[in-house]
Amino acid sequence: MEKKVHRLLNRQLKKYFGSTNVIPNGLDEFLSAVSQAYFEFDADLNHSESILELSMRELFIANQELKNRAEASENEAKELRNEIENIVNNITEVVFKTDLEGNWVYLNAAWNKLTGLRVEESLGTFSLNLLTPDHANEINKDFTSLIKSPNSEYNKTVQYKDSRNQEKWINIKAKADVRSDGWVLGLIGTISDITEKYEAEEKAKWLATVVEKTNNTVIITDSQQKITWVNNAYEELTGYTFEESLGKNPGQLLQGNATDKETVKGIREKIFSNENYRGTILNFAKNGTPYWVQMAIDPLFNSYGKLEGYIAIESDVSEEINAKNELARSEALLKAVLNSIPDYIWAIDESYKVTFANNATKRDMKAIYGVDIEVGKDMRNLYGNKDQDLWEEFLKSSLTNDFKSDRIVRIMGDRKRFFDVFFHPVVEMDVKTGSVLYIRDVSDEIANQLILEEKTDQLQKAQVLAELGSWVYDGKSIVSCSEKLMEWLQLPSDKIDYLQFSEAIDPNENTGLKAFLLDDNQENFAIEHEWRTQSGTVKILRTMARRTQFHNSNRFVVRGVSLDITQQEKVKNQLERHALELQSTNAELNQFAYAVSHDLKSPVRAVYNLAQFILEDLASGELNELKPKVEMLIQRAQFMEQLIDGILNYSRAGRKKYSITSINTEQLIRQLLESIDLEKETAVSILGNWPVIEGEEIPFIQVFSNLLSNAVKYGEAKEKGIIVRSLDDKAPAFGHFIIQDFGKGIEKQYQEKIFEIFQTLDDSSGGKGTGIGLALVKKIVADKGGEIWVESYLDKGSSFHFTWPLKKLFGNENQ
Amino acid sequence: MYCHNFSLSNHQNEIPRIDFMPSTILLFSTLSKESITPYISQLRAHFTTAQFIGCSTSGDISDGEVRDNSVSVLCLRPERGRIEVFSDRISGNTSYQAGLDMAKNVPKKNLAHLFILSEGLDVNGSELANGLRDGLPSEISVTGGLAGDESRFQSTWVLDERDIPRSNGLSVMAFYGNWEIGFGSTGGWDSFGLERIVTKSKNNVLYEIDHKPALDLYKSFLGAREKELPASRLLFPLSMRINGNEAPVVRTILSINEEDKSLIFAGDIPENSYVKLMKANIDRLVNGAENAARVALESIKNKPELSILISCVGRRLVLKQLVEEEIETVNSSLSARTSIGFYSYGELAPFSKGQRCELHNQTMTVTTIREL
Repeated sequence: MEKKVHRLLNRQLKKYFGSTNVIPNGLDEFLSAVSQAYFEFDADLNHSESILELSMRELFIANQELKNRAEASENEAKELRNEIENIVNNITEVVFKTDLEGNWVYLNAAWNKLTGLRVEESLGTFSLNLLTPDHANEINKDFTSLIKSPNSEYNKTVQYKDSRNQEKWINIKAKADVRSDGWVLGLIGTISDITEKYEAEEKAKWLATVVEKTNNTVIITDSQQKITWVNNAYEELTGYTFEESLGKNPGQLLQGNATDKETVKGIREKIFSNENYRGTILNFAKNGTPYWVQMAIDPLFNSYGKLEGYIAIESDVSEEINAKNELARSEALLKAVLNSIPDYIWAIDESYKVTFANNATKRDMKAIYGVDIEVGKDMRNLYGNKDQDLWEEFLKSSLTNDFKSDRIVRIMGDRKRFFDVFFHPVVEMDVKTGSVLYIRDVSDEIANQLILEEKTDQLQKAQVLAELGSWVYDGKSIVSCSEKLMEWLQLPSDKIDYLQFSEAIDPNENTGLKAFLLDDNQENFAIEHEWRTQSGTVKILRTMARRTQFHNSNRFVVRGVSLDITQQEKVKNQLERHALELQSTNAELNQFAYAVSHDLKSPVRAVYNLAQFILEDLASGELNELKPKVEMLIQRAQFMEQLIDGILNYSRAGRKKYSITSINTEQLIRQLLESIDLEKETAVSILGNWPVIEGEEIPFIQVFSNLLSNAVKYGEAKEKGIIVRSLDDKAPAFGHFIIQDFGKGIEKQYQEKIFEIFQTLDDSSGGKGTGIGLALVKKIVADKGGEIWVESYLDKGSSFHFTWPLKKLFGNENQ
Repeated sequence: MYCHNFSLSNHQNEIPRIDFMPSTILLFSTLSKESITPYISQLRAHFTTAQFIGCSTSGDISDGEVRDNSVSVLCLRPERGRIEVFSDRISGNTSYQAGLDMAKNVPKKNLAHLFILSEGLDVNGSELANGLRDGLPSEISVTGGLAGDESRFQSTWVLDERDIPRSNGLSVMAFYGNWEIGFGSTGGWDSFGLERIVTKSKNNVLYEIDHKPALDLYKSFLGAREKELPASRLLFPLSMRINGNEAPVVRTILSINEEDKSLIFAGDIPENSYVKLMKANIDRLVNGAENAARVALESIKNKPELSILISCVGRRLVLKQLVEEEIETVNSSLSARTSIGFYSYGELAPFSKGQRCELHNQTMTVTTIREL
């Protein structure tokens, strides 16, 4: 195979035959043809590829050419556009173009001038959002509808604030931007600043409105003084319509018989000489109502100086003139009133000149100040006034200060006279323009007051002497209260609140003084109450009050007095106590007499009987029987002696008073146990907290030793021991003491009885007791304010309890 | 390093004798998952101790030839260093994470190079490359490719750690010790026509170019060849430039979506990047392949022992019967003792030494290996 085999064929041959060397002969020609075809095909391919490449290059070149041409024409268009732009930008009106959303797509340079905004920053934004929001919405709506109806045109004048915050008037003209094929692209239009024109028009309109609407009457006549125009106010004031007035002479139409002839003449003169007239005149309306007008008549000239007519501007001053008359009347009335007042009233202006003085002033002030007070006089220069400086100072302050009063004293004749001087500034439109001075002779009042003060003083002194306090309530507060009472009640001296007062008198809400003061129906009130003075002593105050209703009025006063009745009460209390003591003494005496008579009888009867037996024995001669009977007789007599001693002790108990000492009860009880010599083997337990008592020592020892000896005697103490105990479980001011034994106890039925005199439980006690001990103990305890009782159980023992005040209950003054 | 390669076109064929015990078996095949299994079993029975790595292809390259319907096998045994195979799973959504995980899990001590094989249909190759790059020290180079399935675009596979072909597989061959690795990746395609801007895209899905549906525009390019879609897309890849400074990369369209008129690529097409249509002819592609060999040789000092060629299926479609021309050109330039490779759905390699690994389309990507 030759070299010139196409590579694809070469590869294929290799693939199928493994090597080109093994290709069967005879195929050479065929393979050469195939190879030739491959080459030719390749060449064709390369040829078409290069054609493609060439045409592509051509295409690029052509494309480039087109691009260049497009650029050239674009530049041309650009130039043209710039030229137009230049023209448009020199137009003072804003020329704009928007898209369908209303955003600027074109604005000329006038935009910047109008709004102060740069064109570049405005483009693409919503057209008119620089306007006030209401306008923006309104215009937005207008524009939207404008886009929808491409044939309509838009013309609107609105006000807005530009970016420099200046108010401007702009006129917006716009129409839809319609392409030749009818497609709407947006809006095109102009915006022009018509601020100046608009304002001038508005001003003219405004002036016309003013003339039309003014309350002043406006009449315009021609040069012959025939009415050519009147305004609304004219029609309203006169009642004549414009049609009725047209062509008429205003003077003839409006003036009447009562119009001042001189004024009319004056007007006519001024008109004839083409001068301005100013004045007031009485006119009449169509219905005959008179009215006053202030009138200004001016001739009207045209620009060539020719008289065109007259204009009369009139204002209705009827009310002013009426008011003036009213004022004059009020002034006269005021003067009459002021003149009828006996006090001195006069006024000065800011330069101290008298502007008014009432009759009393004119009549009497020379006597007071030594000068006449007349209208127009300068009050600073009062010749003969000794206190020139003070006077001037006084006048000056009357002009500068708001209000002042002063009291001056003058010796007039042989009498000292007092004058109260008040002044009040005259204020006009917030400026002080003078001062009114008001002077009152108060000499008599002062004299009366002095007398009253003197009497009050006397009353006070009398009250102090009588330990009596008095007060007055006027329905609102305590208006007067004597010093004594204030001192008692410790109330502040200056002002007394009635609540505070009534609480001090009587704190009881419902029945107390407060209730009385508030209750109109109650006439009288009386109460006694305790109060503690500053020194701490308790006193008793009796307060009585009476309500006095003013005649024919619901006003009232309550007058009250308070008395210190401490001493009286004390005496009364003492008497009562003595009476009570007497009563109980009498009762005791009765019981005592009964007991004595009953119990002394038995030994006496025994003695009597024994004496009888002895007599009988003596008579019968049985002498050996005598001795035991006599011994028994002696024994009975001794018992009787014991009884009598006991009675004496009992009757003395409670009578005698001992000095008050401080008793250490525990110490005392230990001493006592030692002194009554309880056998050593007696077990005594002392338990509890023992108090220190302020009181009488002897009665306390009597009570304790009696109870202890009872316990030893009856309570089998020697065998079983006793317990003495102190507790503080009873009333806080009392000590509670207990003596407990473990003897046979006392039956329930006798537990009360044992405290009665001459009661012994065991009749056959055989002289063991007199029945006086416990009665005595009870009497002492009761006398000191304490209590005594027993708790006892048979065969278990008895506890005797008694209480004793930690401090003495009744004062020493009872002694 | 010991290497030896052979091909099996029938699993009844006897496995040739080799004079060393391979530690690693690298295999490529156009066969489907089902058809490859008996070959795997046979190889496994023979090489009981070796670790297997392999993937499906759009044509295997073995001894300068391109084969279909056979299995190309490379037996490897390093003399001083060590080769380890690691496998994982990958999907379109997890491409970045899979790359990152793989890079992190591979032991780094004495690691010199990673050769990676990934399934080729669902994967986002750019994200996979990013994940690998973010997880690896910059001095460790990565090359590899995405599995192909002839030009069917239906099912690719990668062998997993139990030698099972997985359509979501990802495997790497890690070279430990002292290795001299060279690589080069060039295409030889020419871009032509106007440069257009990507106006809407999400990851590797391109929706709009110049505000027009991407598929419509692409179809208008193809003209009469529109009817040959989807296969014809391989003949007209896009050149993509993310910004003016970077070298443009070639992007092949993996699939099209008629519903939303989108084009799906093997790698990301970010919004605002520029795309241009590309064309090629046989001579340019062959020159391009030679260029790849030249670039690879520039980065190494010694003659390589092994070269692995990964070329794009698109090139094969253009070269057709002349496809071996690019293989021969590369092999004669490299003159490596052993050469193996495959036609793929995407190539992974840095542009040149020291640069980061990227996804390429329509390139011849060369990896040369020599144990030092």
